[in-house]
Parts: sequence; structure tokens; C-alpha cells
Amino acid sequence: MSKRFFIIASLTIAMVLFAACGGATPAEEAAPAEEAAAEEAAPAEEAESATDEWGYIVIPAGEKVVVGVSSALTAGYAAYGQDMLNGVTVAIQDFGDLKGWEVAVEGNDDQCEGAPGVTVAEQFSANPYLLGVVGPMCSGTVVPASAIYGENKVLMVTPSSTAVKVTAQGYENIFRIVANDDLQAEVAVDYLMNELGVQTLGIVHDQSIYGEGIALAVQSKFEADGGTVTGFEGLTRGDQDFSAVISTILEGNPDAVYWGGMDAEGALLVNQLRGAGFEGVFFGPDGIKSIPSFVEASGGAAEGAFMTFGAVGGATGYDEFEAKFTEQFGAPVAYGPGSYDAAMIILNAADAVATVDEDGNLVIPKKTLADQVRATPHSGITGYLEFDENGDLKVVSITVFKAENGDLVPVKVYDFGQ
Amino acid sequence: MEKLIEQLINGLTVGSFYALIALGYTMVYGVLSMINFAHGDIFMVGAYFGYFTITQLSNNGFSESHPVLAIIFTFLAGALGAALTGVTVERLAYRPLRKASRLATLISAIGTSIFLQEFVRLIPKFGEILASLSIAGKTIFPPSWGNAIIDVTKTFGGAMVKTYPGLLGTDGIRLGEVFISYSRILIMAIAIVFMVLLFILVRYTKLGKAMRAVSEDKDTAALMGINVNRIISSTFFIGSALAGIAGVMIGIFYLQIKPTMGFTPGIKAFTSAVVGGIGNIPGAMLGGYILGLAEVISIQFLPAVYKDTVAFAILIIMLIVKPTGILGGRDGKNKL
Repeated sequence: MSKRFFIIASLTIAMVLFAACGGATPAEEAAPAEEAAAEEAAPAEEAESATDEWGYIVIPAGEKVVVGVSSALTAGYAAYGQDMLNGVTVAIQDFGDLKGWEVAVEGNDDQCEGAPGVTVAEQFSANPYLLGVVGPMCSGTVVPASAIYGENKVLMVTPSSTAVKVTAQGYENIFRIVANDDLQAEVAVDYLMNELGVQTLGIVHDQSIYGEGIALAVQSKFEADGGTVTGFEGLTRGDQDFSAVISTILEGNPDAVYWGGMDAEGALLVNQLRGAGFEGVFFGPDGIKSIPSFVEASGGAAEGAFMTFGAVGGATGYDEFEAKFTEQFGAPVAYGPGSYDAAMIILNAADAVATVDEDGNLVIPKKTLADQVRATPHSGITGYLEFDENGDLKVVSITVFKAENGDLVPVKVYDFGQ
Repeated sequence: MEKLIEQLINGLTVGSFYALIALGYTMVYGVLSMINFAHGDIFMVGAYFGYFTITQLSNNGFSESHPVLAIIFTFLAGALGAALTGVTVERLAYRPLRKASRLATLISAIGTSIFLQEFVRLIPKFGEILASLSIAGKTIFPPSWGNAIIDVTKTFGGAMVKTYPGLLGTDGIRLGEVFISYSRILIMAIAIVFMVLLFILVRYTKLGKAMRAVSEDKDTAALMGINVNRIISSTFFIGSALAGIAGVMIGIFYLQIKPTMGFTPGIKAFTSAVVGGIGNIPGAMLGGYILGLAEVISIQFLPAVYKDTVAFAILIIMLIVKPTGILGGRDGKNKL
């Protein structure tokens, strides 16, 4: 009896772990999005009103208008997620009232994962006073969650999700204000080959939609440009020991290692790479553009590392934003300024289309709101933001940063679409 | 060949962590025949106690003037913090259920595991609430105390990842083509020292003899004048202290700690204990090293993402072929 119980208990625990470690595979996560996209093609029959086919957001007097933030607020990637929430908080302070209605920010923790992000999307979609959502932060969250936002016609502006797929699903209510991973990979490969003279590259990724996606893009571009990829390995998010993967990658003796993934594992990876005697270039995407959670968390090993990042502040109004932000929360990490712009885009569009009806309710037509966002260029603190028909920016730039003396210094700017 | 040696060293380092944590599982199972699923979280608590100590020591400059002493204090704090947590958990969550069914204790253990994780995650909130507690408009604690409570709880825990100061650097020695960092050598040495100490304690001391007696038969041991409750508390104390040491080692070696960090190492260590023969001390050490080596060797033949699959495949095969583990007794009842 006791032996049988013991075996069953052990197997159960092992299975729970498999489920927890594996997460949903990209194929599983992508499936609901595609289904929803198919439904999307059919005419929206459930539209209640003749004037706005997506319906209305109706907010009675005395209630607050809510701007949602979906990002990682706990565990490994919380530095990024908290930065986004802080950026939106400052935007709401700057914007003030929306036609006399108080605006509140509501941050929900999506853990940078698919399943929790879908739950957050369902919670936000069920909130009748929700104006729109800033985020989700990660592509692995956006891809499954966008099916929910798409179905419920919730305005979604992500300042940080870079996977190509995000805006390629045909949703009219989904926008992005950062360059996608194809461009990031192009910049990374160009900088590696032409500025750093790298000929051989080892690639490590974190098996997420984001990390593996950009790793594959870098691999194909690097090989197309005549370089040699000496190794391509995946590791598990949340793990701490990458020594075995590192030994395998270093076997190919690459000039540089490209990391497709986030800050928490990136800091450990660069630390353990240096600990294994690797002296070449370490290069990563926007997921490691963070001083507290990458540069400082690496115990000094990140010195000299490079990364690409799209949403650099510095346009008109940035200095005021930075002062205000720093006073309350400390220096912005990465996507704080982008989140400020995303919230401002949502709030300005709402201000342009909102009306007050006879009963004293604030009424916002949903489709008109999304159309307003698409049609109106915005002068943000991260630059000039104008959307194309997919919800991507027409003009973007990507900056290459280098870690020097515990700081991140811009070394080269690439412009696209001008 | 050099790469293989390097991989073996990687495997031994990871194995050291698994082995140290596995000892706690095995000792508790040996004495109480229960699986302490909160053990992984006790390991996490140890890492946080160590973090708190090392940040205090580096804030006042002590860790720069006395680096070796600072590391020793950090280990002591981690071990002691984890040990006290383990003893408290046993007293509050397991002892009241000792006569209840095994399922009740198992559920209590899982509940404790969630409690510890959430407690460390939410402790800054707890500090704020404590500081603002008031009776009749006056806070219970004077404002300076209140601020101290908030400071301490904020440094101690929270949802964000905490980063140990890099104490050991990335230096090492090169033997031909093989590079071994000093931190790896230190980790392996510490693990071996503590395992030998534990083995001596259980084999050759009076306390160890009492532990083995309780493991053999609680009732008879009590009749022989052994204070069974005290021995069980000691078992939790020692097992948890070893987990705390492993927690500090993780912090010093990998730098990052977070409230959920105990889960995966906990499950892997549990697997090690089962593979080695749960309830058997040398078995737990052996199981830890086997699992660590199996993970790195698998990478030579399979893509790295199958590392965990290989580890748990070993568990399943072991449970089918020899459920008592490599060094487990034939009758299925293991003794310390």
C-alpha cells in the first residue's frame, strides 16, 4: 500500500513538473489566435449598434476610466513590467481628466507567459470601464492574449512586444509602437559582421515565442550574409545552471554568442559564459536592455555586451518625463517611455472621440476609437509615431547599446522607413 | 575529451546542489516516512537569509575588509535561518498530523510550500501593514521603528529577483584546455565537507545513534528513553540547515534568487533521493551526483532542451525497475 502510494505520488509530481517546465509550445499558443483570426473574417454579427459596429464603452458619472497594463510584475522579468506600469502612471498624471472623468491605471501580472496573460486579457475584457490596454509586455503573451482582445474589440497598444506575428494577425484593434524582430535581427547581424568583424556565431535562446523567434531570424540573416552559425541551443526559462549548454556552444569556438531571450537568464548566461572562459562578444535583443536586471544582475560579466533596442526616449518632452519619472520611481529601465507614449495614444484618441450623453455618461465608440488611433500620428517622447494599416509604425529606429562601466551607452542608430 | 571533462565538472557542480538538498528529503523520510515537499522552499528561505546578511555586511564595508569572514557569516545565517524555518514547519504543520493519514501530511507539506513562497514574496507588504498598525489613532510602533521594519522587510524579500553581490568573480584555473572557475571548486568542496560531516554525525555520534533508532522504530526508541520529538526536531534542523547552505551556494554561484527558486531544485533533489534510495544518506548523495551527471551527459547526445526529460525518465525507470532506489533496502523500508 505504502509503496504504491509513494510511486503514484512521485509520478504525479514528475508530471506536474513537466507541465510547469514545458509551458505551452508555440504551436499550441498560436492555435487559438488563428481560430480567432478566422472568426474575425466573418462579418461581426453581434454588433449592437448601427453607428459603431464594435459597440460602446459607457462610463457613468463618478466612475473611473481605466487604462490597463498587462506586464510581468513579479519574478524574473518584473523590472521591465514595473517600468511599463510606472510609465503609464506618469502618463495618466500628465494627461489629467478625460472630459471630467478621473483616469486610473490598473496593472495586472501576466508573468510574461501565455496562460496568465490570457487570464489577464479576460479580466480586462470583462471590465466595462476599460478604455484600452498598454501591453502585453512579451510576445509570448501577446500572441495568445490577442485572440481575447481581438474578440472583445479591446484597444491594445504594445510598447514592447517585438515578434513579427503580433501585428500580422489581421486585428484592427491591435497596435505596436516598437520595431519588430526582423528589423532587430537585421541590425544585430549588420553590427556583428560589419562593425565587430564577427564571422562565427553561437546562438542560445529561451524557447519562447520571442526568444526563439529572434534567434531564428538572426541565424538565417547571419548565414545569408555569409557567416557561420556554429551552434544553436535552447535553454529553459527559470533555470539557473546553463553550464552544459555553454560547454556545447563553446565547442564550436565562436567569435560571438547571440542570446535570444530576456534579462534574468541573459544575466546568468553571460556570467556563466565568462566563468567558462569565453572572451568573445555577447550580443542580445531588447529583452536584455536593462541596467538593474541585466548589467547589475550579471555580477560585472555584462561589461562590453551589446544589445539592440527600439523605443529610445529623447524626442520632445522626454526630459520633463524623465525628471518626473525618476523622482517617483528611479531611472526608467527600458519600456517606461514607450509605455508613456502608448498610454498617451490611447488617452488622446479617447479624448477626441468621447462624448457625454443625456444621462451624463461618458460614451466612447470602440471602432471609432481604434480608427482614431490608426489615423492620427502622435508626437511621442520616443519619437514620431504613425501607424500603417497593420498597426505597425511606418517609421522606426533601432539603437545598438553597449554596456560600459555599469551603464548602457548608445553606439549606433539605424533608421528604417524614412 | 577536454569538453567531456568540462561537462563532467559541470555535472558534479549541479550534482552537489542536488545532493545537499536531497539529504534533507532523505533524512526526513528515514525518520518519519513522509516526503517533506516544503523542503525546496526551505532551501529558498535559506538563500534569502544569506542574501539579507551579505547585503548588510557589504553595506557597512565589512565584506570588503574581511571577505572570508563575510562568506562564513552568510553561510551561517543561511543555514540557521533555514534550520529554524524547518523546525518551525515541523512543529506547526507536521507534528499535529503525525497520527493522521499520510495524505494529510502530504497536503500539509504542499500547503506549507505555497505559504513559504508567498510569505517571502509578500513580506514587504507585511512590513508596511505592521508599521501602520494603530490603536486609537496612534501607531503601535514609533515611526522610527516602523521605518526600520519597512526597510528590513524590503531588503529581505519581495516579488522582484534579488541579486547577490558578486563575491567570487569569474576567475579560475586552466588545466590544459580545461577551465575550472574557483567558485566551482569552492562549491564542490563545501558540499563534500558537509556531506562527510553529516555522515560522521549519523554514524558515530550519540545523536546519530538516536536518529537511527527512531528511524528503525519510533515506539521502541521511545521505550529506550529517547526523546522522539527532540530527535525529529534535530533531523529537521540538520536537513534544513544543509538546504540553507545549498541556498546560499546558489546565491553566491548563480547570483539571482527569487521566491519561486525552490521548486525545480526541490523536485530534482527529490528525484535524486528516490534514485539513490530515499531514507538512505549515502544514497541521496549518490543520487544527486547521478542526476547532475546524467543531465550534462544527455546534452552530448540530445538537444539541451531534453535535459529535464532525461532526469525524470531516470526517475520513472528507477521506480519501475527498483522502486527502493540504488542503495535502498530490499524490504522497501529504508533506514538512516
